[in-house]
Amino acid sequence: MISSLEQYWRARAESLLLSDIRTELYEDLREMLACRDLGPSARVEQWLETVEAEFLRQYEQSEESQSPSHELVTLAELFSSEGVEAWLEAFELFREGASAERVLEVAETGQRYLWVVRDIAQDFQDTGS
Amino acid sequence: MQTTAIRPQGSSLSIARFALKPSTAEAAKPTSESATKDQIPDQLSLSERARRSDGVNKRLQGLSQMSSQLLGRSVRPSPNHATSVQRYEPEKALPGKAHTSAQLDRERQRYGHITNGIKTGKVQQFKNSNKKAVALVIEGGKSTSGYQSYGIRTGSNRLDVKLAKGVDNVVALGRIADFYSQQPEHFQGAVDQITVEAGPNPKNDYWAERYSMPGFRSAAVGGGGRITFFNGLDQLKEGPFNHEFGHNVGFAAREAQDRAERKAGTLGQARRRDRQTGDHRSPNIPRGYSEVMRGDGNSISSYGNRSVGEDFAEFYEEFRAAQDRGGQAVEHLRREYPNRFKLFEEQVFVHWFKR
Repeated sequence: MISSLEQYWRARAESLLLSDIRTELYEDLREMLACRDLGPSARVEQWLETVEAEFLRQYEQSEESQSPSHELVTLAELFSSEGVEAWLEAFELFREGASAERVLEVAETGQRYLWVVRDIAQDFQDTGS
Repeated sequence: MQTTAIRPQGSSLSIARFALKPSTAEAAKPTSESATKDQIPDQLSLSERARRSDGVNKRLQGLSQMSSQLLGRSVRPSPNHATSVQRYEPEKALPGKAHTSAQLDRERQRYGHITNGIKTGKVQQFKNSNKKAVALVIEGGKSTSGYQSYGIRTGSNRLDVKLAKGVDNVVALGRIADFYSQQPEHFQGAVDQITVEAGPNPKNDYWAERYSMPGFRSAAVGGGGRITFFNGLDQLKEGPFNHEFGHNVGFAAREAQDRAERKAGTLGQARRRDRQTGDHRSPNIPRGYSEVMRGDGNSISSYGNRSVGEDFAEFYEEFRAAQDRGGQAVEHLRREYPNRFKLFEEQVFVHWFKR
């Protein structure tokens, strides 16, 4: 059963406007998709490899950190994991030659959930401690 | 990757964009404060509560930091631009309705060297907008599947030009030859194909809907040695040309750096360093650009803020404009952006394009 807290933050993630949550990573992905559509490029492949490796490295490092028992922590970890997984799926789709629209759609989900993790942390800092 | 300490837009304190009415959303929100109390029983001593709260905060901040590092800096769209490689100027048409027949006639007259070049295939002399004498040869003119293909040869450089049917070939080639010949000669090889499409970018509607920006029109895309302009002659103008050319100069500089690193057996090391400096984020910048950009600590333009690749293309556009305006403008650019300028002048301009 989904808790009301999770329900709240999921609704929040889904209701964020894309124009408000665009970041360098998302812009870079779009740039790379445009480059890909102009023709094969070793540089695009290199970008994919390095960014993907960075996602895995950061995520593995994060998983090694201490995780105190708290509903917000569980939620933030769940959203981090969903965000990272969505981005990794977007990279995979990129490699498979999926349309730019499809790749961006999946990346957008990752974008929303990673963004909301920052909001949760900020919210806790503002009101929870 | 770049990290950021900025408070994200749309953070939890701002609920205006939340789907529910603000008051309803606030009322329905299970606050983190109540969640904290649920998780940290009241009977615990104050010090124990503080210790637990610190642990939770530390973990949440760690997760937040990871998200920030992965996502990079926030990029708010500016009203005049949209996609990163695509240049977007929905309200900026060519000045003064450039496509009246009288204006096109004047342009055709100005580009008499192009008309002659197409007819004869012989070397033509002309003065570009910088009053520099240029010799060129126009090759081809073949019609293939909806396009007319030409080659513009200047010096040792050759540029393929594809014009969609319906695009005025004399005016298009005249502008391209003018803008292209104004690029520093040793950069010209950075671009080898320019296409002018008659219609809009087929993805305009998609982007318009996605960004809720009615009227979205991308003017051009560039990278990997190519530039494509959309909407015929509408956006084939000097600013977008220089911007897209800049992406290609950055791309070519990086390729040259990679070749040198590969030769020295240090490419892997350089790419690992790219990940630390942020240079891996764009293929269209010379290595080292992310650091000098941070060193300057300022912004070229709102469009340049979108990504390091766009910053470089905007810098290139500024650099070209300053060159056209003369010494004082170049010095001003050097003062405003000393680190970018130094890297550009000493590394890109001299070193990586040296022949």
